[in-house]
Amino acid sequence: MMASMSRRTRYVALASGGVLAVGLCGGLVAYLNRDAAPGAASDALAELAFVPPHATALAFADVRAVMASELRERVRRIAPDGVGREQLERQLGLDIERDIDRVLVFWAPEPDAAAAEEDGSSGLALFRGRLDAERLEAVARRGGAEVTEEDGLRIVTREIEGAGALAMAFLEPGLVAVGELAAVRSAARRGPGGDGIDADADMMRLLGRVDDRSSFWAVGRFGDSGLLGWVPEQVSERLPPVAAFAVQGRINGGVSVSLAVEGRDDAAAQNLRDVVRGFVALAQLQTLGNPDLQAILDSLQTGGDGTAVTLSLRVPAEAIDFLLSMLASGEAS
Amino acid sequence: MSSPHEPPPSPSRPDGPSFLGSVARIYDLSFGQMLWSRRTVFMVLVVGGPVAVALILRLLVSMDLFDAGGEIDGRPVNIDGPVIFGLMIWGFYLSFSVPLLGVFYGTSLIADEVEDRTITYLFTRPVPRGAVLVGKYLAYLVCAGLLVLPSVVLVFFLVVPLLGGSVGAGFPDLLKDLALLAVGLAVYGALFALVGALFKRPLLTGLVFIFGWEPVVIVVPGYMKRFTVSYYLQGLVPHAMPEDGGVTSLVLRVLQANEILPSATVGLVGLAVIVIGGLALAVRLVERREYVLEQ
Repeated sequence: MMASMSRRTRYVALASGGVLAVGLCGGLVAYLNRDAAPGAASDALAELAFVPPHATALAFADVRAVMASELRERVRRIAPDGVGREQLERQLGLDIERDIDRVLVFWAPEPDAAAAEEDGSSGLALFRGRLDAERLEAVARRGGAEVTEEDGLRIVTREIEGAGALAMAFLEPGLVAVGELAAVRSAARRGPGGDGIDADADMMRLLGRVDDRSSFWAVGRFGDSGLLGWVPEQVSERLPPVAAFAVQGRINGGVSVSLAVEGRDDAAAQNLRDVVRGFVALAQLQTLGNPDLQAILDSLQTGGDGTAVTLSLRVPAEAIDFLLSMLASGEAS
Repeated sequence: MSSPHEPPPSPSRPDGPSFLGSVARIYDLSFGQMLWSRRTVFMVLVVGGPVAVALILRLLVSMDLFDAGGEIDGRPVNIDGPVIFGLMIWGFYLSFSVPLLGVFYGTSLIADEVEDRTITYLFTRPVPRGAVLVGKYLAYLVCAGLLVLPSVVLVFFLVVPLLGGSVGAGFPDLLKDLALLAVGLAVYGALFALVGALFKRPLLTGLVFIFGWEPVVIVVPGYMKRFTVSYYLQGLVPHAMPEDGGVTSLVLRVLQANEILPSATVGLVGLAVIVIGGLALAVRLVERREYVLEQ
């Protein structure tokens, strides 16, 4: 049909169609490579290979995004040295702000009591970033840490008063594990290709709820081998009948958070929804006359059906300023 | 302009080209004319507007003058690139550019030939009259598509990466939006092709329809909104917008408040009925109507 078109018509049609085609191809390529986007939650899947299938809670933070956010600037005003940042740098040489891109933390209590006795608890943090092994080892040595080598894996350990042995090891270039010695050893033994969390359909379903664009997220499940394993019995008895949760959020000037909770059954979920609505109504009464807190409550949306309970809210920058000023004045007094 | 008379006897043209061949010939003839008309220059400005807005937004974000937080209707909402893109599709394209393109091109398919007094030359060629309308309609679809769709793609790449958005994650939404806009162009084009064949002043009638009838009736409770294209088209918007918290839910609330939420099936069936019905009626009208040119 283009045979009888004038040359300029053909050029315009080709140029316009070209923009469309290039855009669609570019979008398709970006779509197919979206898992490799830095800072995306799904990018943390590489670290998920080190998480055992019996893990009951995982949390992720896009540290670079958080550190570059306006929220960080606001927090820096009241806590210039960072919360725990100096301690980590002094003991292990890790500068969260400079070295770390993202962090994945998991909790995996050993379901087998005998194995638990042998292995201890299994909390571990995996830091991904621009990490210099030699520098970190040197800093740790200066701080009194010891460096040992086990099956080609160099492990830096240091006794922390009241907390036992804190260990650090490079699981692969740019990825360092920090946690209790047993957990670091266990993660190193597992490695990519072993039985990871992807073998756990329940946890993968919860991870499926997480938006790729979240600055931070956490998922967890309660149950016989779940979070209740480390929550004190007196506390767990009082917990609402929750089976699992997924919380995620995005940070910039303000913070947007959404929480999805799964009740043990429909009745439990309905109870939870009622409790949340009641709490929101009570909070609304309490915050009357305070526009900053009122703005947070106005943004709060609850929902869900069946066993699901959902809740989302946005904390605007002004409300964060207000909360931070309250914290600062509390510390001062 | 023109006046309806008794339908002329359909001349038999045993030696003429087939209907599809005639459609292709008319399309070929009309596409260039349509692309280089003054109307297209105006429409380039209309679809260039969102691109300019996207450029300005990008500039503002790069200068840290635009925050991800916002407030609509007194409620704080989190705004990012994909959400802004979804709003631009809804506000700029679906509610404005697409209906306007449909009115300007659709009503002119036959009316321009009447006004220019060239319809006689077309109708005396050995092609079915209906093929003239269908060929011109296809030329309109391609011409309008070449104007709107690249503009949407440019806006997508300018806006979606802003404020933490991801081009890769937003790509399925782009495909849905492009499909939705193509459907919108087809529906408004068919409807206004009918208006162009039916009314004496089709452009005015079309403008009254999209800027008078549709915005008013769509917010009036009751069944009248079913006589608008927006009801079926904008009802598909939630299916095309990114699944995000604040702004999308706000748009949904606006749509729900105005009962503009037919199911996707109802929306698609309604749009199909308008396209097929509008075109079939327009073809029938053109084939049966005698156009008497004013002196």
